[in-house]
Amino acid sequence: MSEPELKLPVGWESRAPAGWSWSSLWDAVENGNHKFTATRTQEAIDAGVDPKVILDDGLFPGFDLQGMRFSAQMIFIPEMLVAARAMKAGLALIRPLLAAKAEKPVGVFVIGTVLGDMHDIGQSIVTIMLENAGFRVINLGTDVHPSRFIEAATKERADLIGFSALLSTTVYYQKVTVEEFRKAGLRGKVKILIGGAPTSQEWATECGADGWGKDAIEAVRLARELVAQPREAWA
Amino acid sequence: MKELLPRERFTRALRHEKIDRLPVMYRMKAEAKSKIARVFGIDKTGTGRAHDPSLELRLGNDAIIYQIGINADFSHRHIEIGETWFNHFGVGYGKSGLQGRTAAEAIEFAKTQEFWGPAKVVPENFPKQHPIKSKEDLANYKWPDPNDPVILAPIKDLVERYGKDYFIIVDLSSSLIEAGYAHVVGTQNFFLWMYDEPELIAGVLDGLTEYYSKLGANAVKMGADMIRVGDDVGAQQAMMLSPKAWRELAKPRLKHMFDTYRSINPDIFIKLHSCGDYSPILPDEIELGVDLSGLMQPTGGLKDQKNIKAKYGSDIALIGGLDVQRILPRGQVEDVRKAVFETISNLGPGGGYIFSPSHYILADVPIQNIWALIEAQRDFGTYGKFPLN
Repeated sequence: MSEPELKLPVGWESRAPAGWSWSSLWDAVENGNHKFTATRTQEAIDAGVDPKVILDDGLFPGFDLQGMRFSAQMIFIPEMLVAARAMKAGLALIRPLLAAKAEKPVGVFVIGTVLGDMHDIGQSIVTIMLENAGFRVINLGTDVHPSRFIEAATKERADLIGFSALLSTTVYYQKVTVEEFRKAGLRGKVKILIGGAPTSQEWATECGADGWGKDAIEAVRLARELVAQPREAWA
Repeated sequence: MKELLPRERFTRALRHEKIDRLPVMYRMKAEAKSKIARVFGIDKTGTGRAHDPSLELRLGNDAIIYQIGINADFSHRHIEIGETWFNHFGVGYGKSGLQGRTAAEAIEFAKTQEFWGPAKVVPENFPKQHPIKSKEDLANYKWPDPNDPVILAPIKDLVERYGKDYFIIVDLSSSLIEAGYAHVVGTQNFFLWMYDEPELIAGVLDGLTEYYSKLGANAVKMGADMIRVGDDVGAQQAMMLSPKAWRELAKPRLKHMFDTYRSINPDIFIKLHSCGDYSPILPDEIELGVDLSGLMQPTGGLKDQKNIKAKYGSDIALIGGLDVQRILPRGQVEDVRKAVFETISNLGPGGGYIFSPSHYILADVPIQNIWALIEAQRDFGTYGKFPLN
């Protein structure tokens, strides 16, 4: 695959204050400089730039570029983690402002590693990517009992649920947890995604899940697609 | 060809010489081992440092493999839910899952265990407390003793008892990058500190290199035929860290370890293992003079076995390649037979290959699949006969 290029957001000049440039922020997120990302994000806030514009024009481009490189195996976990940390530093400043403006999240996503499994590096990358894509993500951590998924989904009126598992000896609980949602009468209210090294589309189908995320990029693409599909409303 | 002794067969395979049939190596974790052993009426089923090879030899293993190092204790012992157990590196391990949490959950757990069929869930122990969190921690850290007789003594015993007939492998388990991220430092911190605290990471890796050089050297002195260095740097679809970062952080340190082993015995065989896809560094393994590479997980990035064999097979021997993620635990008997046939057809021709599943056999594998595996390996693993003719 050829080297992905930085996609400049169309029309960013007209949305930025006169003489403003985002390029240092694009570079900072791309290179994982979280300190500069926070500084420059704060400067943009102080200059009165709309928080949604800061997110779309300032923070996303560098991160999306790294996401594409990660998917194409040009960069690896350490590079992705530092870019995600920088993105998080910027988001931390932006999120309260977005909430104050009553910007609604794209969807509510409850994620966790299933019972018996302690691996979290994959699902934490997916979490950050989903947050960047505008989802409100509730991460339940690792070794999550099905009842805790159900509790969180009900409390947060979740749109999507994600089950991660890294071991062939724990993927079983992906199936069990899907089944528990069905038994609780909640299966129609949520879309369920699964992921993790030993999983596959066949396994997702066998579990009765709605989708399988081969990697973090695919998980976000699927989440965007599934959140648009009709579901039973939460009471 | 006349039937070779297991140790001859294994050695000749490593040297790409002609052999009668494929050498094999099966490894099992405790739950799987006791399950399979019951079928054979074998009651000595120790794993880890209490390893008893009776069952493995019955299954046809040509090598005896004894594990020491950072993984050897925690993954083979019982840890209660809620307990934190510390090993000789000061890493704390816990257990996840249902087993033993409440009486009601114990009943739920029991339903997931089946003797003839697969155990649907296998309790696993996980590192959860990491001893090095700062430069001060590193400065004050006391590395374990590489001359510890408790760890080393069984090697002598295994060499004396089995060394005449079988090939003796001492497995140092996770030895470098993996020992760093999974155990000593913690995964997220390890990868972030590659950027933030490169000196701290270098210090941890230097300490590990020193320890494992000496530990392995002791094993060589005691008569081991092969030192197995394990270092998981592959994720399912790609490497975890870039090949460039691996070449900076791991390669020179591995070279130091291997040089140390070879300074004691220039003919010592070296195996380097990584889970997942590590194909970008296979040429580096060859450059380091690694004799055996594997266990070749075929479900992600290492799928193209024929191509890997054609490209690297004459410069390095390979082991593994049979899918343990999907086919062995969840396939039908016929799927297992077909997978064994394909793996042997891909990697066996021309020699330089040791047949093995791509990792431990866990208790999630049904007994009939283990049977199918052994039967197919015997049917398809003879040189001069289809598919190795």
